[in-house]
Amino acid sequence: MKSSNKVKLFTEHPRTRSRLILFSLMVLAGFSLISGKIAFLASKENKKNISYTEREEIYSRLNISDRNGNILATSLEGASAYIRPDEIQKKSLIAQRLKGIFPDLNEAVLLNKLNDGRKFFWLKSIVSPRQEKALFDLGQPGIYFGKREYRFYPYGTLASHVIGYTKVNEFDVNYAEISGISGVERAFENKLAIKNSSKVKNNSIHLSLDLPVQAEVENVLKEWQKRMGAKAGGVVIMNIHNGEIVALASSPDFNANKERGVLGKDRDSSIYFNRVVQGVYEMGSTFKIFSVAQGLEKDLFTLDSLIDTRAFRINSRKIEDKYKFNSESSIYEIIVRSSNVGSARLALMVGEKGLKEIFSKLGLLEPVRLELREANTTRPILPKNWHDITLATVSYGYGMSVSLLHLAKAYAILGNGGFDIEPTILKKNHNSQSGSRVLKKTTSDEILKLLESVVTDQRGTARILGSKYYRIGGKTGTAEKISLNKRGYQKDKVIANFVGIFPLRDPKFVIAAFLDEPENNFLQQPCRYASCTVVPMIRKLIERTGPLMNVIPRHGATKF
Amino acid sequence: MLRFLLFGTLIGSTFALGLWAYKINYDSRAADQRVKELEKSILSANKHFKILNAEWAHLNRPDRLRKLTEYYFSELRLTPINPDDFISFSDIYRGQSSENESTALVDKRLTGITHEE
Repeated sequence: MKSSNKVKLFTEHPRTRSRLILFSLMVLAGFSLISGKIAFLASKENKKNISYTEREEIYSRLNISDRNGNILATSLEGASAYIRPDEIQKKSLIAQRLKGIFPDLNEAVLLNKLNDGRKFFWLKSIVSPRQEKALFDLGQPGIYFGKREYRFYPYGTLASHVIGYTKVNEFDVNYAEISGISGVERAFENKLAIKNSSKVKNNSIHLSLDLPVQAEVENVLKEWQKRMGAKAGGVVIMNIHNGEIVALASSPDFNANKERGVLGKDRDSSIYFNRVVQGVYEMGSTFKIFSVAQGLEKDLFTLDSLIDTRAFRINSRKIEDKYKFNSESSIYEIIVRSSNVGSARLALMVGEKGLKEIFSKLGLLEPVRLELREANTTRPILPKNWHDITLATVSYGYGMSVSLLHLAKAYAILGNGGFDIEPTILKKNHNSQSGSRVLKKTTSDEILKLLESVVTDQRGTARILGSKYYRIGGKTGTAEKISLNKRGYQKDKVIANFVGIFPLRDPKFVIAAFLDEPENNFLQQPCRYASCTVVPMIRKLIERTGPLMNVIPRHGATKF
Repeated sequence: MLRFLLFGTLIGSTFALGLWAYKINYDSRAADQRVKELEKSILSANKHFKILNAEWAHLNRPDRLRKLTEYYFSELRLTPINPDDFISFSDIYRGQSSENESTALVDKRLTGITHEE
């Protein structure tokens, strides 16, 4: 009883009580502080564990592959080498040995760098495995290696203009950040530079390109460019229904694995120029089909209508033909034998509004909406005004410049039944047409008939394309190049091109090609026309790539 | 007595629980370590995989294959695919023996030898 009284007295004392409460609060605060810290540490450690792989592959770019999964571009891990000069004793000896490993280094500059008191400098931003081993075998302290991711293109120059190239943005001793600056590498930068690619299942971007077709196209293009003495050339093959680009070659090309020289300094910068997508040229007679299409669309004439083909003048400019035509020719003949006079007459019938309408429907007035930035920034060069003389010359391909891709797209719409298409560089999972109808089916059918007769007619400009395997239709074009130093055109320098559609029984592909300043010297007289320069190349291209693209030759036409 | 038993079990179970917690902790650390190691080896396997893929693609360069087919032509007789290589079903069933025109033609194309009939 006594003791309980004592306890009571102790706890009942008001000051003791408040002190007890204060004490327990302090203990509580201390414990919560500790437990809070524990929780914080635990959560931090946990996060660290999860991000292990993330840290490792943080700067890994996705692969780029063709439609069948062949790798066109991949990222590999390499090494960079750097030096801390104050750890090196025999500096001149080391400079000499380094020169032995890297013959492109300047020994004097290297020695200077070693001696001028700097703490650190980069020896090489990327070294090959062999060089790395040689450096390692020197056994020299002061030479260090850093991790370096680099882009590898297994096929070298293949499809170099489509794939594009990259540059190193930012780097340190243990990482390098890469970003694309042209082609697919740039266009899909956001998708390619995805972090932590090891966790992304489908770690590749599938292009619509078909590797064997692309290789064959480049092979044939280079061979014919050489044979015809052309400065440059380009070919594009596109699926006529869904706009997939199956092959796109521009020559000369480049090898993105090699380090690029300073543009325009030690190497010709023009090799990086995508002539199919970025190059705009006056295309010549390949334009003739457009005014015919508009006339058919508006029922202004039929293919058998007779048109005056005598030379005539517009504002003192004479419009005439190189070959002799009768005073009146059918539209069929105007296209098959490629008459400038006839085409000019048709354009005047169609008028400014009509011509602009068909150009706009076929996408010739604006950049092609391909994923590549090069395409989006390439505007056609349009005439400043649309006087009668302009209408006449534009109808046969002078006074307006477009890219080869523009032409391919326009012909695709003409040939696929009249549906709008959007060229794409990505693989599509369906072969169906998604665009809206812009031309009548009958117009498309008539145009295909017309294009076939350019090949099958005895007088046609592409008659040598008459293949026993495939039914092909197309139109040739030869345009003289504008003289750079004086007014007018150069007679001896031309852009020769051809756009074709095959197989005609059930159109699948549009193929467009051009050569810059070709000259066929294998004939009795030198010939620069498309009919004797580009057309033979197209024949070779179709016979080579047709089987690769599963285009079955026409039945009964083969030897068998 | 009851109190003694109660304390005994309490102390015993505390020890057991402590041991169990220690073991779990230890196991989880080991598992964590293993995960790290596996992730590391997966990563390095992936890297090897990537290099091998790139190497394989590099070895299958079309220009290299073209040279190889030329080099080994006498053994392999590989030629670029040609529209002639397509034949229709009706041609296949036309005959069965060497009289078959199609096979004779294919033979000729591949071997350069014309079979006498």
